[in-house]
Amino acid sequence: MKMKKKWTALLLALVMILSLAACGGNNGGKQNTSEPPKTDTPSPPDNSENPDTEGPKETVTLQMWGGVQGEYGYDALVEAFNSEFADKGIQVEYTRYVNNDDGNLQLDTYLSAGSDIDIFMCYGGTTKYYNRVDAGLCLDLTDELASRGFDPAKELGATNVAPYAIDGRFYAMPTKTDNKAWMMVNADMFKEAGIDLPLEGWTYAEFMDACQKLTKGEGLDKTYAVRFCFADTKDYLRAGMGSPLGINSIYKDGAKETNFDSEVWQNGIQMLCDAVEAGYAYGWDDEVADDVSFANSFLEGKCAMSLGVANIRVARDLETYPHDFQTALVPFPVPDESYMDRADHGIMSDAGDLIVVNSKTKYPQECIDFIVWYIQGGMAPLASGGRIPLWSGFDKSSIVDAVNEGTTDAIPGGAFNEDSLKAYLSIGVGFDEAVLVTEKDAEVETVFDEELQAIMYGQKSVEQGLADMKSRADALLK
Amino acid sequence: MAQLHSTQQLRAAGRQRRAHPNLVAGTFLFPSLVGLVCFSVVPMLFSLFISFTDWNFLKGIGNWNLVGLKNFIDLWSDEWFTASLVNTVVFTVVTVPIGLFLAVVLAVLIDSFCAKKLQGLVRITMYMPKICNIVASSAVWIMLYSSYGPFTQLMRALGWDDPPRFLVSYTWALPAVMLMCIWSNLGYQVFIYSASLTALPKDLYEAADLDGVNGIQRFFYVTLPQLKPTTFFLTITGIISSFKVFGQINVMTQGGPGTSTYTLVYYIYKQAFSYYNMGYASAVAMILFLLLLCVTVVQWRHNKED
Repeated sequence: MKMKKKWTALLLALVMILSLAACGGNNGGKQNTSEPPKTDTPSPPDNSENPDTEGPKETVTLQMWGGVQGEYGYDALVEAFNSEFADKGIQVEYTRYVNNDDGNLQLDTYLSAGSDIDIFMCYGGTTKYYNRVDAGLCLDLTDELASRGFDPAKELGATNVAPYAIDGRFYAMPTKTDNKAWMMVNADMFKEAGIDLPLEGWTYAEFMDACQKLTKGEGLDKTYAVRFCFADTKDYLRAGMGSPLGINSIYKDGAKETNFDSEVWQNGIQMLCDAVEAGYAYGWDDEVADDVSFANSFLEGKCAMSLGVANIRVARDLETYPHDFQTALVPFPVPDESYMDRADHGIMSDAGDLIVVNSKTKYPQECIDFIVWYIQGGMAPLASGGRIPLWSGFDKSSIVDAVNEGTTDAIPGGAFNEDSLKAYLSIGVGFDEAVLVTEKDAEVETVFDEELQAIMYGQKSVEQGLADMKSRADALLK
Repeated sequence: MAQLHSTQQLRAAGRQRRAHPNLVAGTFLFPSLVGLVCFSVVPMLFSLFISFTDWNFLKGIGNWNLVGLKNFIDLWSDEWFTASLVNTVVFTVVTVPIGLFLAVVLAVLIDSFCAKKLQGLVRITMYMPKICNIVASSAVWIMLYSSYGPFTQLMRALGWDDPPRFLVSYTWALPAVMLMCIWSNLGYQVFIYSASLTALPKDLYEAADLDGVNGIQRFFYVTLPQLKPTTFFLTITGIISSFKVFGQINVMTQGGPGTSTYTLVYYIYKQAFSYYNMGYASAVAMILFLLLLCVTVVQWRHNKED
């Protein structure tokens, strides 16, 4: 009897193990949870119904990951590519990842784990790009591009592509240009306050005068002059305040030390403190505690200026964010008249949105076909959202119409002031020197954020905060 | 000879008898042991190894250099680490005793004054925050703490003219998160205390009543000493969970303002998944492991004594 019980128990245990093993098998089979999520991009056309299709060529579907929502241009881009390349047996599916720490971690994990991502967009300037190249995640495009007659310097501008050449090899191509040192302003409020749009640039003193005129009301009804985006990325502040120091505004001496002892930083941060103290700008704590965003402040007419131009696609989306005022683009102010020669911040024009091929892709040829198509006009549907193609053959004048398309009924003249768009599109592009990058960029930025926060909260004086910023950041570089 | 043969047979049968239960137990344990080895032991040993390296996550497995004790030495001059350690200790020292005190008081009040039929409902209601998703409950508390949220309005109604923005204040952010954590754990602790209270011998209370003790004396001299094992258990588990606090910090403050709400686990996360410094993050994780090991050893010893 006892023996029977033991054998029954043994049998049960074996059944349990086998059940667990069976469960494991299912998980690793059809329902692989580590697969990238499915997208809502249009289905590729069915080749079998196309009488022009050459023979039974197997269709390759490339997986592309990018940080922009499909509806802001990528859906149209994918549809155009799939239609054009249906007979060549190449299709593409687009998946959006969120371009923040968590989203980039997700992308890096998928890439490191050998997922089926073929092409991805790399944001965050050179830092992330260099790290990913160093990690062997990016395919060397140099020879394949050359074999297709694509000369990066000629097609995209020598100074634009120079920062992305590593030992003369290209592992990515920049696709668009933008300038983080420009900002979006409510053109109607400027007009009402009698302020001309400072398209040629302005000084901190002029900026503060404008702030005084633009600030109105009290309490919940208050209209602020400016949102410095303390609660978002501090990239705009770093670009705007640091621009007078050139493209390497953070580092000097070959990135052996930081530039935070420069009076340019002191003047910039002092201006921020003055604007907040005078009540012209949301304080850091206001922005975080009340969740002040571009949509719920600028687009609701509660503030007249907001740093950065990344939200062009949001500001022209009148269906989701209805508003009846016109937006203009103007440069961030410079400390004083002596810096007016660089008031358009051309030096900060950044060739970004790197398009990269995963080094582990099974379809390198098809990926490079897509990249060349994307750069040479294929990305046009993204232009209306403010992603200005870098390609020299692209007609920039079409961007003005594209940005304002479908908005002129609701806002006379369109959602964006035409002169300011033209001014923004005409600013110089390119770096004047090699961009200094270190492995500690992310930590240095965290130090900048923390010390700036301490200053803005009144925990430290501007001098003390900058001194601590420099000593902490320099310690990281040693 | 026949006797010897018989003895050998008996020994073999004995070995077989002993082997069968071991085989059965081993077979049952096998799946769990495989899970333990694969998902706990191996990652822990791997983490220990990479804490002696400069491994960057992006570079892939194998692309590391051994740096000896450098990571462990660097920790002590790292402002983020020291702030995280101090905050974690403060968090634990404050939340565990206050949480336990509130829990035992509430459990006794429910046991003494709540109608029997309602007791279960009250306990289940209090338990809800424990099973609620941390992200969801943290989002609710962000709203409560906002400038025009109910908590801030309550402070104003109570006469505090200019209450701080709790989650963005260097002084108040950590206490604000602590309060939320005390609230979310309270139901669980009340539940455990309530279960222990029902098991307490009634004769002690009868004897105390005969001696004429009042309610407060009965609580401090009869109830609390009897709940000592439960309190000890909740203290140990509370300390461990406080040392591991992460979700609330990540959602509500992201370590800020400055480093005022950085905790050890949040700092491990930042180093590992924002800066990709896996070696350094593992060194911090080893320090956390040692701290928790000390707590666990105390618990083991206490259990042995009992």
